[in-house]
Amino acid sequence: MRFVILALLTVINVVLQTTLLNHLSIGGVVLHLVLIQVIFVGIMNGSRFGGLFGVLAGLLLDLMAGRYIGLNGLSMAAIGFAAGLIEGRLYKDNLIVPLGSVLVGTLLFNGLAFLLGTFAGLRLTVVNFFMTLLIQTLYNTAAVPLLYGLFYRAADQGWLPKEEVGS
Amino acid sequence: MARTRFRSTLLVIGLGVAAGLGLLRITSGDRGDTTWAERSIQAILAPLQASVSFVTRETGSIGQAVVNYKQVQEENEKLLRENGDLQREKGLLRQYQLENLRLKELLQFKEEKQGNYQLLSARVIARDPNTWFHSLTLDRGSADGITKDMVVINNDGLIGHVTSVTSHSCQVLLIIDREGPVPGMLQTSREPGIVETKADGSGLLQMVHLRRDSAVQEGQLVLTSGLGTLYPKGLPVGYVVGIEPEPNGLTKRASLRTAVDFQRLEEVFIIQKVIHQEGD
Repeated sequence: MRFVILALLTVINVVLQTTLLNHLSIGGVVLHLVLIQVIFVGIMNGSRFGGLFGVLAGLLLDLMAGRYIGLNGLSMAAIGFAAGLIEGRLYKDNLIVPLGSVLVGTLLFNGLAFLLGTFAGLRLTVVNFFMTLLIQTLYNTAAVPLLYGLFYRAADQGWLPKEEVGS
Repeated sequence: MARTRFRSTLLVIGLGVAAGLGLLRITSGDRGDTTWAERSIQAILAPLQASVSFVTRETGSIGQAVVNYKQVQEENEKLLRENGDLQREKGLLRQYQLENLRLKELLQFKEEKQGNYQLLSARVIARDPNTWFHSLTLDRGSADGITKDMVVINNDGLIGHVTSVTSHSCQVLLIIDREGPVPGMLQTSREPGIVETKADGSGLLQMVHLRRDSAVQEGQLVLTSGLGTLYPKGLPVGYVVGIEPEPNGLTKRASLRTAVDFQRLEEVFIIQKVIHQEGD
C-alpha cells in the first residue's frame, strides 16, 4: 500500500510540476518536485531504494517527454542513490539534512543532466545551464522547509515507505 | 558474501547505466514514432494534466482578478471619467449642431429682410432673474449702435424692444410683459387692435377692442399694425387660438399664441433701421 501511495504521489508531483508549477516558474525554471521527492525517498529509504525509485520516477518524466529517454532516469537514479547514502548516517529529522541534500542533489542532478544531454546531442548553452542550475538549486532548497515536514510525517505515520534504523 | 553482493550491485548499476546511455542516445533528436510505453504514460497523465490545468487556469483567473481588483477599479474610474468627458463633448457637439441650424435660419431670414430692415444679430446672454418682468439681456450695446426703443425680432416674429442700453449690452422688454402692449392687426382683415399679455398667467397674449362683427378666426396671424412710434408694420406677433366677447358687450377679444417661442430664445436680431415697412 505504501508503494502505491508513493507511486500516486509521484504521479501527482509530475502532474503538478507540469501544470500548476509552470505558473510559479522563476526565469522559466520550475520547482522540481519529482527531484525533491527522489531525494527525500533516498534519505528515508537508503541508496538501493532511492536509486530504484530515482530510475522509475526519472523514466516517468522521460516517457512523458518522449525524447532523450534515460536523461532523467539516469540522473535521478544517481541522485536517489547518493541521497540514500545519508540514510543511517545523519539525523533525518534535522531540517539541515534535507536542505543540504536538496541543495547538493539539485546541483548534481543538473550537472549530470547537462553531461548526459550533451552526450545525447542536446544543444545546451553554458550560460543557460548555469542560470538553470542556480535558480533551480535555490528554488528547490527554498521549498524544502515547506515540503519535508509533510513528507517526513507521512513516512513516520506509515503512509510512505521508510527504512527503519538498524534494519 | 558481501563482496559478491557488492559485485552484483556494481554489475547491475553498470548494466543499468550502459542501458540508460544507450537508450538516451537512441531516443535523442528527432524520432520517427514513440513507443507504446511513452504513449501509455502520456495517455494516463494527459487527463490529469488537463484537469489540473483547467483548475489552475480558472482559479488563476479568479486570483488574478483579485490581484488586479485595484487596477481594474482605477481603470473603471478612468473609463467613467472618459465616458463623462465624451458625453459632455457629444452634448456640446449636438448643441453646436442645433446652433448651426438656428444660425442658418437666422441668416436666411436676415437675407430675406435686408431690403426692409438693417438688422444686427445679438445673443441672449441673460434672462430676467425674477418673475415680475419679462426681459432679456442681449450682448449688444451702444458700442454696436444700439439705442433705446429699437425693436427686437427673430425669424418667427416680434420679441420686444430695447428699454436700456449699456456699452456692450442691452435690456429688452418682451411683448409678453404687461408693460409692453403692441399695436396689432389681423393679417387677413387688417383690423387693428391692441395686443397685450393675458393676466391669467397662461402665457398667452390677447388682442382687445376688436369690433363685435369682426371676421376673426382661430389660426389667423396677427401682425404689428405700425401704429405708434415703436414697432414697424408687418411683424408677426401671434396666432389666434380663441375668441370671446368683452364684458362691455360691444367689442370682443382674441387670445393669441405668440409667434415666437420665448422659452427658447438664443439668437435674435435688433432692427437698427427700418428701410421699408412690410406691407407698404
